[in-house]
Amino acid sequence: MTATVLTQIVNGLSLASILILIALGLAVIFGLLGVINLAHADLFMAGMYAVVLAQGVTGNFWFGVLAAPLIVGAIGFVVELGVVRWLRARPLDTLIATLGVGIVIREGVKLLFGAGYRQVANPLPGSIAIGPVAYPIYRLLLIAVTASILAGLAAWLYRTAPGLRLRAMLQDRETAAAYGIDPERASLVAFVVGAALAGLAGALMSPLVTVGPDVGIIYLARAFMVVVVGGVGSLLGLVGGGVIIGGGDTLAGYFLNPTIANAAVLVLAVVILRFRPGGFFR
Amino acid sequence: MAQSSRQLRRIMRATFDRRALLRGAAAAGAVPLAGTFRARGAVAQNTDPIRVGAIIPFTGLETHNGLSMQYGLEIATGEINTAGGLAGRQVEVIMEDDGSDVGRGVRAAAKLVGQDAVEFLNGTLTSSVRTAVFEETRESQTLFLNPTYYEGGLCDPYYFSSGATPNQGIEPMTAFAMENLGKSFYFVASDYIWGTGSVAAAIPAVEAGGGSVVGEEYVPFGTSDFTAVINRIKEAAPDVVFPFVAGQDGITFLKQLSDFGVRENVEICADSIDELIVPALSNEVAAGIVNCSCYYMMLENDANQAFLETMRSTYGDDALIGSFGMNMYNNMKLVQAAADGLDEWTKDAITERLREATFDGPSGPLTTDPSNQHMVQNAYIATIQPDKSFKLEETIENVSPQAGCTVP
Repeated sequence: MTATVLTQIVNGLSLASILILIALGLAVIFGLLGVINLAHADLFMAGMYAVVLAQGVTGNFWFGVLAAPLIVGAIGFVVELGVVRWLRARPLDTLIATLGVGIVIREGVKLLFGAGYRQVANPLPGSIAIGPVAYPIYRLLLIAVTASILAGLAAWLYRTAPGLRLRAMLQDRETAAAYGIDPERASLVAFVVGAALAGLAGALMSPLVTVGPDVGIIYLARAFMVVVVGGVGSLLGLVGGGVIIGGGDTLAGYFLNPTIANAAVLVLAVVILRFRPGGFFR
Repeated sequence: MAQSSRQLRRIMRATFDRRALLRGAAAAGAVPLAGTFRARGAVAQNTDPIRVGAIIPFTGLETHNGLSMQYGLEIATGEINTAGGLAGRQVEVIMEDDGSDVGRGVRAAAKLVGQDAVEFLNGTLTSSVRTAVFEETRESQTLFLNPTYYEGGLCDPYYFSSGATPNQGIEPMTAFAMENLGKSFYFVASDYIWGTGSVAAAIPAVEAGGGSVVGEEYVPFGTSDFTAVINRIKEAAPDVVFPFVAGQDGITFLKQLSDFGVRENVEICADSIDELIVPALSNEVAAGIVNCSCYYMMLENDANQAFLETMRSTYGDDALIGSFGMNMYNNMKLVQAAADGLDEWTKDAITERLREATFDGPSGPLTTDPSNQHMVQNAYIATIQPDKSFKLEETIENVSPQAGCTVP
């Protein structure tokens, strides 16, 4: 009995951390810039291919994890300067434009790597015993890594000068500009960080899931749910959204069949948004 | 979506009705103009190319199969045209991407049949697309050849399938597994017609062979975390897990089964893991999986060697082909065999001859079973080696298809 409960708790934590990881980049760009980045799924997928690339060149998975935020951050840099910057005042247009950017990234990956699936092996196979439960090492590591990324992001936003500038810009763009903050620059930083986080998430998830050019899209809906249920614009909301959706999924998945569980989590999200339209943690 | 597909169906029907009317009028000689055309047609042979419509998933869930299907189709078309075409007419292929999506599949079929006026359709991969397209072709009486193994149940005078039926893939696999791997099974399937239909075929096969089913489970499309399912598999402790999980979800499932250490005590058998899938798996995940399919690239016969040589010289040394791609090829070659010696291409003449068509190619001998118009063909059971190559374990020759229906 205790083993079952413990297993479900670890499952819930693992799934919540995965969901938070996947949603991080989306939440940063949505929260700080108000841009709904529909290219998020494909930036995530590009992170997976950064691992494929780095693994191919160096034979080492971890180089891929280092390379992914750099490569995908660079893509984000180009996208912000080339597309998003010019449409900032028109939210609907950014929606369509980022959707298009996503297609360009996807087809670009197909041109470079082919349309077939690619292999990323688990760099840390095997399990660790937590009391009576054996759990895959890599999944436990992901919980720790996600927690560290969150802590780092919070420290950056609330303890550093660039973070302060970003928050000032978020509060009042014009007043911030009057105080000498360059809002264009701050926006660029926010978008690049968001893209880099999407890439990092893709890299870290690549050993667990299928790696192919069209896989990103299935993570987009989940990431949105986490962001919206938790509450847009706060890291706490993101964590809360991840825990609610991840925990709900684990509980429902334990008691129900997976199709019903999927629907049950959606119903949960709808109910939460009915009573707390701004998100659970707002 | 439902509404727009209904609308499309109406438009399609309208198109066909108009055609049928014209044809009927021409035959009766009631419209002088149409009558003149007909007379001229009788003097000069029709030399327009025969248009073939291909419905292929180049994007979406089944992206990885798209190119393979294109290769099979194009190589066959090239061979047919070099040999003089079909009934003296060259073949022209029009390919449409169905995005692995029912709505797009139906639109692709409507476009190919209505706008491009193709003589027949070759393709579809996911069962949901195939079933929807089948409904359209049955109504419009369009010749339709399916390349994909599936749950069966589709029979129509104008529908042919080189794709295997459950008794040509699932049943040989469960029989082999019960003899060599273990007697208790756990089925995990995608929650749609292929998954549910395959499990429905597998359960009686296991029970008839004295095995037991300790669990069956259905997962929605886009499942990226199988933790809950894997926990239940561990609790049920089966000898064999037999997944019918489609596309990328199936690969994710295999990876996570290994991560959670399930593979230490559980064997995996399948009917969907071929040379196209293994590049997505690490050696540790792939090794030891047993699979039943009607084609592998590793098959040793002259036709296969020649085919692979053509494919590699045309598309590059790393080009891969799976059973779907090979059956796109087989379908075209069956039509070629049916058209052999035919003076004038007509749908009914070719359909009549397809019912007796045979073709001995890279996947072994194919013969149409006239009762359901699926193919009598070989089933091959293979084990994936530690280097991810496939080792042939057993060939079951000339398995008659049991489609679960007969042609009316």
